[in-house]
Amino acid sequence: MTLLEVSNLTVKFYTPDGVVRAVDDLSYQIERGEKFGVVGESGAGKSVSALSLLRLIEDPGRIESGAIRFYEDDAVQTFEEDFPKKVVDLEELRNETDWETLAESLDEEGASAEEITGDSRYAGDDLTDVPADELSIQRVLEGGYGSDVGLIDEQDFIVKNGDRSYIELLRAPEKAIQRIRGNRIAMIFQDAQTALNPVYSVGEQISEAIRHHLDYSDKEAKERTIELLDQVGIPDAEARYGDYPHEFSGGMQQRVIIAMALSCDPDLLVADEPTTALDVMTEAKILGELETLSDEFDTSITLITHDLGVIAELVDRVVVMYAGRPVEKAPVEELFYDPKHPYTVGLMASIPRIGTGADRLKTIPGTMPDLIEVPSGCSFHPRCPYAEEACTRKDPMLVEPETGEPAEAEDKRGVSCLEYTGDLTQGLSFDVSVDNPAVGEQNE
Amino acid sequence: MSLRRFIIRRVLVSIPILLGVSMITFFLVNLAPIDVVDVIIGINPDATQADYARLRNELGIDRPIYIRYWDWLTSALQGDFGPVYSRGLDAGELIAARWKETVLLGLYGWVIALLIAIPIGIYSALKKGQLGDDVGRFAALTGISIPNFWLGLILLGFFSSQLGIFSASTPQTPLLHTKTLAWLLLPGITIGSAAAANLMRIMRTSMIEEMNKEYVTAARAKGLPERTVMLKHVLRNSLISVVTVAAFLTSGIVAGSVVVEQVFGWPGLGRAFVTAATRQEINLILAITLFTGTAIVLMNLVADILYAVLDPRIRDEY
Ligand code: SF4
Repeated sequence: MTLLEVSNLTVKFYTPDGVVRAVDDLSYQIERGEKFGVVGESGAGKSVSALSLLRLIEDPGRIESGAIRFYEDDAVQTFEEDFPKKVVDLEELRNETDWETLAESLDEEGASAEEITGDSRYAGDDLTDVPADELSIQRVLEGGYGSDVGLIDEQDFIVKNGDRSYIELLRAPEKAIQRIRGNRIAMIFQDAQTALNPVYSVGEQISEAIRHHLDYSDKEAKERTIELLDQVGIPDAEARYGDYPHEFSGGMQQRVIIAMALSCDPDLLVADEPTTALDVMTEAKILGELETLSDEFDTSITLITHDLGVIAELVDRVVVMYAGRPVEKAPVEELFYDPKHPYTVGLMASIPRIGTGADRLKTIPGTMPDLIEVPSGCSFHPRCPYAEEACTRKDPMLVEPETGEPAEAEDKRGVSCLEYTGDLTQGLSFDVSVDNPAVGEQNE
Repeated sequence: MSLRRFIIRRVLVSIPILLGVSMITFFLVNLAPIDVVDVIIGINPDATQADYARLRNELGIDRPIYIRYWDWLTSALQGDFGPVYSRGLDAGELIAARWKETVLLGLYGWVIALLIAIPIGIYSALKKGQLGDDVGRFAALTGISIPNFWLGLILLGFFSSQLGIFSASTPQTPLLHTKTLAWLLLPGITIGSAAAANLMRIMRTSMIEEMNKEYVTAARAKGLPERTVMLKHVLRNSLISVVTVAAFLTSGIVAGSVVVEQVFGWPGLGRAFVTAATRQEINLILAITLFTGTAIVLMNLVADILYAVLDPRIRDEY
């Protein structure tokens, strides 16, 4: 069962130096209870994609297009009660819609939704000449025609669709999104030292969210906080409730951040490099705890990291990002045993391997483009050892490596390299050595 | 460390500081070319050389300076600051009679400064780059640039001569009477305006700086309403720098009181100080300087305590 669906997300930053396309047409889904990984070098747009999930992109950044859908019946239900005017029922629409009239009114629009609404979020299908029997409510709404042909109201964000009801996070008003943040979707920040407010005690910083979302009394919130602190492995939790962030070590601060994220029992944890600031020992411990906690609470995790080792330890499925775009999508074993994209192969080679004697650290030559002037064609071509002439021209799509068909279905692998659409003359010629100890461990 | 321990230690540290202040005050004032004997005898043509020597001996001025310091300090601690020759009363009595006026004016200036600066500073920060912010910043710049004696004269001229709603003579009501407090509004504004302008700028910049920190994003990620994020998380952190700067501004307010009391004819220590300086009343100069020095030390103490209340990291110092 899908919990969160990100589709065609594009985020841009309007800086004085130019427009930075931090995330470009990113799509993925997270299943309930699943541990999903987003991996890439720093600057690949991973953190921005994480913050977008909670709509925390700040000026000069803007979520340009795409949709983020949150499938949580319980949340849908409470929102339905509190925002009764913002609900749209697709079943009803489907039954009531007269397809012929709809097709006609679409014809009358005579232009793409992007042109009509002036909103680049709807740069998609042009439905003006589609015959009635090919139309579906989904298509019309996703194309952005919904409000123009009078199907829905621009502000509707609660979508009822049988047992697949969802909340359209990018349309939700600020008030609604505040009730999702920290409550349904919570974030684990990378650097606990800066993410904790230095002037409030750690206990207060955790319990304020509990009081706010769950309506606990001061005393109940405090009890729950102490329980949480204990759960994430902070010794003597009750005594440490009133201590301030600077009185904790880095590892302990990170545990506080995790406790804070878990405080309202969220459905999804977004962990942005949760262990990067820590030493290896603490990292392993915390990852282990994260795994236990997520199993225990049946919480999905989106783990964002540059570290494939961390990915190997924790997640089930991965999307690899480069320059704001997804370049490969695969279950974690397949990614490690059989990487398909040259960039993934490069990333893999840069993991230090223990036990092979030579722990050479291979790096991919060159650096990530600055995302203002993204290279033409395949944006990886300046660094790709297999780049050919075609790579500078043609923009590779995310396709199934076996068939070369667009990788739409979530359970299919996807790779965006021209090799798999048959556009390369020389082909890729890398061997993958399967000796990653982390993967081995996980499979035991 | 606990807040209480911090406060106790900080108070104890103030004692040697106060001693230092008294020492510096005494030695500096004694460097001034004032001869008390001259002041006492004045231009009495009948005074002989022997009279001078006798007086000098009686007053103990011929003794080494450190002994005189010790004498002065011990009697000062008992409230005896020596006579004011031209008035026929004690310096201590004069301070006792006048200090409340000055302290009230200073506090008044502070309260006005804070009441203006904090809300406008917050407003400016929240509306950064918008019209309201520009207006606020322009006002702040103006406030900083205007010398307070000039502002005082302008306010006095306008409200008293033009509008006639401000009486140029001081009210005869008791200090905390509403009439007195209403009258003090103009001197209070005059004395507080520079501090208000400075504080407003600090409030604005430090708030803008804090708003960009990651704990703010983290607070938002918790789902707290924007109001709580700003007024709970950001504000408390921004006030830390405001308190630091406020401590510095105290001496400006003290210095300002000399001018403002003069302009408005308010009978406080500032005016007494001007008289003391022109009449070369060394005991009174010493007493007032010591008083204001102590006041500044105490204000710094209060600022440091506030600082520690706001920021737990500070409590581990000292
Ligand atoms: S499309 Fe070309 S440049 Fe891009 S990854 Fe494939 S081979 Fe390399």
